Amino acid sequence: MQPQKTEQFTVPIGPQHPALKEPSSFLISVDGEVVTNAIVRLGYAHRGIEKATESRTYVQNLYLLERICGICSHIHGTAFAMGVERLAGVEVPPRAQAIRLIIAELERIHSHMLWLGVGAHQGGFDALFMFSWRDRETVMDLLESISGNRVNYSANVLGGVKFDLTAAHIGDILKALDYLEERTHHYLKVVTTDASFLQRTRGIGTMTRHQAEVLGAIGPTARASGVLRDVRIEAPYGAYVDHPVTTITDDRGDLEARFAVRIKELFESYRLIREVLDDLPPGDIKTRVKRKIPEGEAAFRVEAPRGELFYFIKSDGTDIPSRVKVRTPTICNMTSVVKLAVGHQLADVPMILAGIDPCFSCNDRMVRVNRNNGSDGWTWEQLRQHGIEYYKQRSQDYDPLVVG
Amino acid sequence: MPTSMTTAEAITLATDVLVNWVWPVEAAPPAPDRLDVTLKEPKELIPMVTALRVQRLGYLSAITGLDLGPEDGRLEILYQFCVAAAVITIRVPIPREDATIQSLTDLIPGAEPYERELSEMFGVTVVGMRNPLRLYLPDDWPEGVYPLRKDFDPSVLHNHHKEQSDAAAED
Amino acid sequence: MKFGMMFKDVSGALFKKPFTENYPAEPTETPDRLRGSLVWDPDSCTGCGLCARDCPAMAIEIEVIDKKAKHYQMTYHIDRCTFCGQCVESCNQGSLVMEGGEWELASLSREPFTEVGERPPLVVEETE
Repeated sequence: MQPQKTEQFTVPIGPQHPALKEPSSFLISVDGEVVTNAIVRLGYAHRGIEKATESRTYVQNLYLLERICGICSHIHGTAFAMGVERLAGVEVPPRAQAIRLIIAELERIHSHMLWLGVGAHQGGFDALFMFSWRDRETVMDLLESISGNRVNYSANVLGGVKFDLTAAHIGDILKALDYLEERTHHYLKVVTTDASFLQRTRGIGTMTRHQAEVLGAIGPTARASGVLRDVRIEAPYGAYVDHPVTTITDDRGDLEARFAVRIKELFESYRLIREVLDDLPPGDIKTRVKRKIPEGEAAFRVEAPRGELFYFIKSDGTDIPSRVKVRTPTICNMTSVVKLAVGHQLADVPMILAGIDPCFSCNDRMVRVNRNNGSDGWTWEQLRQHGIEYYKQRSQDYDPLVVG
Repeated sequence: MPTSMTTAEAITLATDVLVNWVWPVEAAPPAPDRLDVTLKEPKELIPMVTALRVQRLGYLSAITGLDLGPEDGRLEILYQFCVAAAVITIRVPIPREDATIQSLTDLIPGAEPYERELSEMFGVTVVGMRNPLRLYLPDDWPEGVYPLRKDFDPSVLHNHHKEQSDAAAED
Repeated sequence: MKFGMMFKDVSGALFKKPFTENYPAEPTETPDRLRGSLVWDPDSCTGCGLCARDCPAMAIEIEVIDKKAKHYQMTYHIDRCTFCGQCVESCNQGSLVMEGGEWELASLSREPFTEVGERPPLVVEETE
């Protein structure tokens, strides 16, 4: 190849699993091993959900929106249901609110555990990955026994929740929390003291408090940089009004801080669940909501495991919403990845990306293309040729690299 | 610290800043924790957002596009700023046919993905974007088709892809 | 700073049984509330169609063949069903149950995935 004028080289990462097993594409310019620029391209898991909400009833949308994300499905359903309940002027029974909180916190535990595993895996620490996922199964089993599903619990209905907690469930939850608490202490110790792992996290991807504010970071990513941004505290909703949360922040802003903040949040979730279970209000678990929702607009914010989730619902007085806008947490934090990657080693990029706990299916929601072009699919050769053309268009020439 | 502000204080301050502006704006509080400010002209956006930034009032939580329909002939862009439990919305109505708006990225760098989304989904030209590339839609998405507009017809895509595959077959 | 913080976990695991389940060789335990395929009780159904209307996946079709004779036909597309349980929630008569239904639904063809149930017509007695 001709020697180029500048020593810049662009490395395409993705769309196939850039860090997580989810699609997203990054064009990373490197000078040697050091990243000089990063461009993000999303949309590989785009399903047209926002548009689809405009042709479904509120009841149907509840389940559609829950499927935006498999990990934080309950919180999507909760945000939508609570937004609609606010529009309808319905008061949800306190027991339903408490159950929503418990499921949301259990979901946060399993999401943070999942992230801990993914983060460790990116750092090459597969023992931590496997053991944290083993312990995550405890929560998954709990959620399965409460709701009947491991993911997409469908706990919400408009006006309450579907299922009640029995005494047996409460006993199971308390027992599981004791076990998890013990394990979480161990994991906190591992990520803050293990020398080999600290080399991958300490001082990597540091985001100062000012940067976090300017780049609009939210959720645990922002809290690890010392920005106190937690909807559960800023704008308490549902049962969080009666059961306040203590926020965990860290001033260091590097990957180690992000690990520490998320693991410490687990303790807060355990405490909160115990507190709510201790004082579970009696009564109904649902109330009736009319099918037609009165005209109006509602903005509803909740704290998803990854940060603030923003729902905007506009109703025109029918049983079908006029517009549902979903702003998921990952999109806010994506700007910070692109910025933080600059100046780091290329090998640190997956860790930095994993550090914000990205969820691409959350990001990508809107339009789906149904390709009915009638072809019988592609042969391997066609596919390879397409790949070459595709990267050529993106100024990457792989032609000389292709063997046979 | 802006986060230590209470909801009521935030609404009072926002009302003070935005409603008592040098030129008149329409404002309505649809709920105690919300303030909606409707701008008369899109060019008022930058001064208003600057005013919020100077007061360090909230952070940009979302940019929502609303299509009021072809009969109405307008799009409405909602800039939602959140502080404590307050949601301060700056509503900018713009004509559907000539949808142009100034970019906020110079003031708020984090606004970039929202604006890219807005421009590809609603066909709004955002002036001054650093990176005007598509964010979500596929590379071969037809030009001038904006999926979140109310008059979006999915059959356009079907025809578009058919034409493409026909063209590919001819090659 | 220490090294090998997970060493104890890893070495301990050598002497334990695998944590994973040996499914399908050994049947797995499922919770009571697990939602499986929908079970329809034709006797209590009034044919109101609320389940079909609320279904987010369009998996249920209720056809009223003869309203007077309470003759309904229900078509359930299991392959479309997302097992959300909204139909059970919507049914005022309690004619639908999902809990404890069949959940091992893998198959090589699509055909078994449409269930058609029919409520037999009532014999309307002639009063005259």
